[in-house]
Amino acid sequence: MALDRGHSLRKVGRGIALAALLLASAWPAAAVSQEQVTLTIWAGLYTPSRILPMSSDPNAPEVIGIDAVADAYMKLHPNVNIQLIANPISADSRRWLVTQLTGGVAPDIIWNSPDWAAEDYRKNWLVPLEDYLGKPNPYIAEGELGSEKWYDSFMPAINVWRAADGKLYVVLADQIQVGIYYNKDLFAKAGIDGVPTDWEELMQDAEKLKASGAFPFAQSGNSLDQLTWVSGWLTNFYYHDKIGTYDSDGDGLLSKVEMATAVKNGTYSFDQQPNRERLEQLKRFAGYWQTGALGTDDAGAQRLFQTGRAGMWISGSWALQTILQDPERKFDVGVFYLPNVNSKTSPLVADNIPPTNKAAGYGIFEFSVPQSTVERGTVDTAFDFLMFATAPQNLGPMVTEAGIAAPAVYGATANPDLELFAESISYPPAPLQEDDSMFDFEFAQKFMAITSPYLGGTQSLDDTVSRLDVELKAAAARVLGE
Amino acid sequence: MTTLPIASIAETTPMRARARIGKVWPVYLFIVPAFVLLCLFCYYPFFSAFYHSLFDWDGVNTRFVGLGNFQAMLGDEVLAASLPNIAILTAMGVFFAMTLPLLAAEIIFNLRSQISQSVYRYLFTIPLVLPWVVTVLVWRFLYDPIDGPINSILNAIGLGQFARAWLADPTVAIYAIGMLGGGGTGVGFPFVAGLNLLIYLAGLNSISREVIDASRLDGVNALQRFFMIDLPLIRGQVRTILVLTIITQIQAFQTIILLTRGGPGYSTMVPGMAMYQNAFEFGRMGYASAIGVVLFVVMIIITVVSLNRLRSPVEGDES
Amino acid sequence: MTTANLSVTTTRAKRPLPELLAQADLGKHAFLLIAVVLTYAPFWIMFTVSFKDQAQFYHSVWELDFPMHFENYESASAVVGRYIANSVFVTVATIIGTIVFSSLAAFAFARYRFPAKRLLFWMIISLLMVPSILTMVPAFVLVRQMGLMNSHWGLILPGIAGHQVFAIFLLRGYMASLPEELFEAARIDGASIFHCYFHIALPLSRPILSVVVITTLLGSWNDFVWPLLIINSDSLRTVPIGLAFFQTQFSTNHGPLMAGYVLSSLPLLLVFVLTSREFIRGLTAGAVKF
Repeated sequence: MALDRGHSLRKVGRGIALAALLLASAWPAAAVSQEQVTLTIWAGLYTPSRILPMSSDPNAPEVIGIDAVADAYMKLHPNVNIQLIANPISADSRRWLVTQLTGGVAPDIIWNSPDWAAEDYRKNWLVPLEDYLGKPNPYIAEGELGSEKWYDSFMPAINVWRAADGKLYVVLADQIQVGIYYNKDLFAKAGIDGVPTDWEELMQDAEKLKASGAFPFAQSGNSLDQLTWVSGWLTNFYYHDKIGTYDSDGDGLLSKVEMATAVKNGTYSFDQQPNRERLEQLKRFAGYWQTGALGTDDAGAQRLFQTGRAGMWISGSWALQTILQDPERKFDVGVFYLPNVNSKTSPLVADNIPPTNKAAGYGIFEFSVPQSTVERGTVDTAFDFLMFATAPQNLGPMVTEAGIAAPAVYGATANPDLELFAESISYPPAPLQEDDSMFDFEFAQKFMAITSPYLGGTQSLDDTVSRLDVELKAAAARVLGE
Repeated sequence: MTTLPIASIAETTPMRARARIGKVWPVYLFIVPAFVLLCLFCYYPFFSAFYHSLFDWDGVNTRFVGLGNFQAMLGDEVLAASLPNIAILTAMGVFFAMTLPLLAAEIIFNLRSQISQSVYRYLFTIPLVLPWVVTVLVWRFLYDPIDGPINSILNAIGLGQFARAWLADPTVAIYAIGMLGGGGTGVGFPFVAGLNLLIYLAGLNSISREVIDASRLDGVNALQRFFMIDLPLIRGQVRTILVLTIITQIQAFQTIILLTRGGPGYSTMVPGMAMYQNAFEFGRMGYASAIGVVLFVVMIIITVVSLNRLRSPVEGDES
Repeated sequence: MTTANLSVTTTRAKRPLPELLAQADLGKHAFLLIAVVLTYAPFWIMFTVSFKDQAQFYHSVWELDFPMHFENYESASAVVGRYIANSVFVTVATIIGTIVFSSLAAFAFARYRFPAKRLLFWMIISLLMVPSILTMVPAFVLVRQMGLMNSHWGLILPGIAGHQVFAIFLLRGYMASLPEELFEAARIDGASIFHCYFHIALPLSRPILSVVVITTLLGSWNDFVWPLLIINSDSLRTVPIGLAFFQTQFSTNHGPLMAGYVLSSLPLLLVFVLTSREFIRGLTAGAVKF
């Protein structure tokens, strides 16, 4: 490869360039090769609309996404050419990632879900962040967090998905939050005052909505996410008193390995009263889904809510702009956070458990660098770009324009729309993020498939529990590498 | 990669005199290009799949597990759930392929006007080139439990109790998929259009005119003629379609991926979908290869059995 | 060609033949017309929805609503247009490759005897039984090793390999049925094997070649699983993937989605209209059977 031949030349040239730049400018580009480099990026939800139109409406406002940052970077480094990949985030994304990474042809910077990265670490697909996190971020002003060590500029959320080998694989620079969007008009019609403050009230409100003729929830029963968020949320409450026993490293987070060990030791299984009750609550919740929810996907659920036929839709900050700007929406919309569970629902749950951040560790700026960049010689450039992009003065405008996540980097400005989610983002991370994707993607799929007939009423709780435990043990074995 | 919804196996050796060659070798040159590509993109992957079915393979790392994958298959409840589903889809597919297009072919064949025959043949062939995805998407809308016309109509005519969440109710979902034409990319309801019809027509058209006329003179009515003359004489075509349908349905998963991804629960899971999921979503490529190997063996067995049982007594004379 | 020996002697009173036929034909047409309507219903919906906006879509799918929103086609072609060129290239290359390679091989199998011929032929035909998914993963890894990832050749070469199996099967049967005299005559005049292939067998095989063209065309154009795995540059994507995007991005806006599908079926319709006569002739030749 051309870069190999020019290697020693590059070092000398780099040295000279560095010296010159240090003298000449406030933002020296320290570690970037001076040769022509093409950087391919799959920017996920930060993909600009010129690459991937977000809407078929030709009058829709243009979304700049990562373009501004990329253009600024290219101006600073004329030898770098950034190419953005057009690939939507969808139910197919996992498959796309798996094939691209297996084939060694993934783009140089890829959007990656941190729980997947924590699951895949053994496959050596991704470059661990440690080396680069320890370096100074040359794009951050002196004296600010991150100017000495890049790692310092990140809020603690980045640590949530540390892999079992102790390493981080995903640069997390913003935070999304889940929330329940609700139709204020339908709520008023059903006689609901305000928003529910706990799970019992939520169920009662759902009942009122049902009585008033609306669908209480617009649910996608045939895709992950909605179900697993609620499920994981409930589990945090039912297992609140056991968290201490599972948390062997005492960091307040239950990692994949900790949970897998608990399964192996028999201290966690579905055949326990708290889990059984949790499943029963899920079934109760499912009773308020629209007809045919078990076969509906995200798009269908969203459409149902947007056309004003469902009272609530569990989604998150990433849908905020779509909902606010939707010309089809004819009702007043609000959003509230997942309500706490307490003893009103079950004696197993204590009262006054402090609320936690369900979506801590997730964002839209979640990027990994594949191992193949090392061979290609683009790894340093890739990380340099990431440093540039996560510098608060660059990140802030990007995050603000998107309006769907709050920054997870200190010093970056936030979009005021995110005020709706600000409080819940500030909560400490929930110990159990999503107990079902807690193990791996495969377990998440199987959890959904196994609970589906239970929620639909064609399978007993006992059968569900025993089938789930079979998969639980298999998943734990996979996580522990057996 | 081929996604031909059709496959076939042996050819019956036509008994025609062939030239004897003095020097043979130039003939081999004719088959070399085809074979090079076949070895590269068909044989190598085929044997590689067999090889990797003995490993725990995530595309990068391999770990020998011998027959471990096959053992795991026996205990895999996803695969267990997919077996009755594939049986249902295949049975429905075969039933539809054996009845409706054949019936339509007969009817077209018996039309008086040649023009009519041509017109209908044309009309029923065009859907082949129209995107099958559209049919699937439209059917998804038709099946929609809230907005879909099927339920609306049922409610309107007072048969509301039959309304279902067609793709969400585990007891009917698989049948709903079957009514669509099964897992593959073939033409769906009402199953008349497409290659099957053309193949049947071709067979009927090859029946000698004299036979038909003689039968009319003898006073055989349409139904009798169908069972006693047409059917036996198009045995070859019927057999072809039977085998093609079975082979297609057993591997198919394209519709499933689009509509239900095997859900709700495992009620529409099919082996092809399970293979795809294991290989490309869970990263268990060795296991997926093992599933493929088993599927392959099953298909060979079924095909050989079907061909033997339907062997026409009049062999080698089909032209 | 078998001529069945009929000894059916049914003599039963029948209605006069013309009347019977007249009645029956009406019933036949009724059945066929119903089948036509049911077959084309989804495509009619595709057509009407392609001109609708959201409000019209929720109002009804069956009727043609006015005003018709032609801008749906604008949005659709902006997205789908670039994919059509890619699909055309890949499909045409695949068809040409398939025709060339498979006709050469089929000719050899059809008209000549040579050692190991039976074995070689069986090897080819048995490939038809291999489920595409089985070979997908190793083929994917192979394509990567050959450096064909993210290139059209990663679609074309495996495509030719895959489609030529069925093509060889079809072509062999047809070419075997050609009268030997033609070739004898040519051989007496000193024609080479290639001459027999190129100037005699190939032109005469036009009907069956049309069948091969159409089936390869459909298989290659509509393939969406394999290109999804191999191509990740937007500039190289083919139509089915582009339409899949539409589905993900615009799943709430059906008008442009359907417009996209209409646009993507136009090239195929064109090809079909041009080759349909030969295609149907090819199938009618009765070559497709065991």
